[in-house]
Amino acid sequence: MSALETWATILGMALVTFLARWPGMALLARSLPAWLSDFLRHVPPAVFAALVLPAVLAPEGRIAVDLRSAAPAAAGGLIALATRQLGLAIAGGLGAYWVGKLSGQW
Amino acid sequence: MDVPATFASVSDEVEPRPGDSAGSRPGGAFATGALAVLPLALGNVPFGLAYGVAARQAGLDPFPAMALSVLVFAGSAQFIGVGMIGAGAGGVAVVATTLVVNLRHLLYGAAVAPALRGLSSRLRAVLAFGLTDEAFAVSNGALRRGEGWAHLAGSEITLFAIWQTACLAGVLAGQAFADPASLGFDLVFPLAMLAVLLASRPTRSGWTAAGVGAAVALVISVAASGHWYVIAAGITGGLVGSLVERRSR
Repeated sequence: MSALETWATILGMALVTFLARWPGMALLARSLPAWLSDFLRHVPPAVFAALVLPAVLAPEGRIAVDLRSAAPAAAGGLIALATRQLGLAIAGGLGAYWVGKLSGQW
Repeated sequence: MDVPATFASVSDEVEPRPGDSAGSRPGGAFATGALAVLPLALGNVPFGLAYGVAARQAGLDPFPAMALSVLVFAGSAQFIGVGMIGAGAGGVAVVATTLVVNLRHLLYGAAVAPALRGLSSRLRAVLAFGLTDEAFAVSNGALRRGEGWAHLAGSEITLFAIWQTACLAGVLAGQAFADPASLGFDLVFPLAMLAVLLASRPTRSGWTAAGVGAAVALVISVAASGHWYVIAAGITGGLVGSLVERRSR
């Protein structure tokens, strides 16, 4: 890629990223109809779950219970339920990963 | 901050640490947001380093590599972008893929918008620029509780500072950093998303939204390549969850 095309690409990426982030914030700041605000309140749990499950259950593009990701997820999940602390949950999940790795599980 | 009752959250936010005030002082909310995102921001450091390495490997010089990171500020899009550039893809394909990868942010902006009423459009644009998955995840609940826009500013700025520092280190130090996945750091992001979901103690309709979203995401991500699965899951889960809630009223 030439330098010109590289810079055009970078600016294009920046523009479309901003265009994806901005309209929701800018245009919908006024009162929303009830059905729309109900819908938007339920989007975050759906998105968080969508960002978890494929990574844990289908990291290679097909469904397979992979202990390498399932065990840390279970550990981190339990800690999250118990403590409601993000840092502890991440640390616990990573800890479970390293315990498994050091003991040769994966 | 006056948040109408109809925007009350389906779930609480991750528990604040002792000593944090949930007050309306901008300084307090900013610090709360900054602290809330810190575990995620630090967990992303290996990926910032890896991005720097990947960008150099794709043939980008340090300045364009950092410009990309600063102007786009979206981890997955940055990786995919430099990967495509390195593989010889054309600019149009890279930009189009970036748009698709980041489309889910449309939902994030809409979800936080009600809590940002009364802000100048310039401030909203600045907050929109920094709206990443991580900042949204830690600040959405707080915003719905009336914590104030400074919480989002705190999480975004903290994430930005740490992320860009890591990217710069990767760009400059090149091959010195090993593959993050070998240390389990590819698990940080899904762990964090899971923790935010569970720690927020969703209601029944919230759990329904999560379940539907997860199922849709799983099916689509296995059946098709690409990144549509997140926004598809968000919309489907959001719809079903809101219908379930409506039915139980």
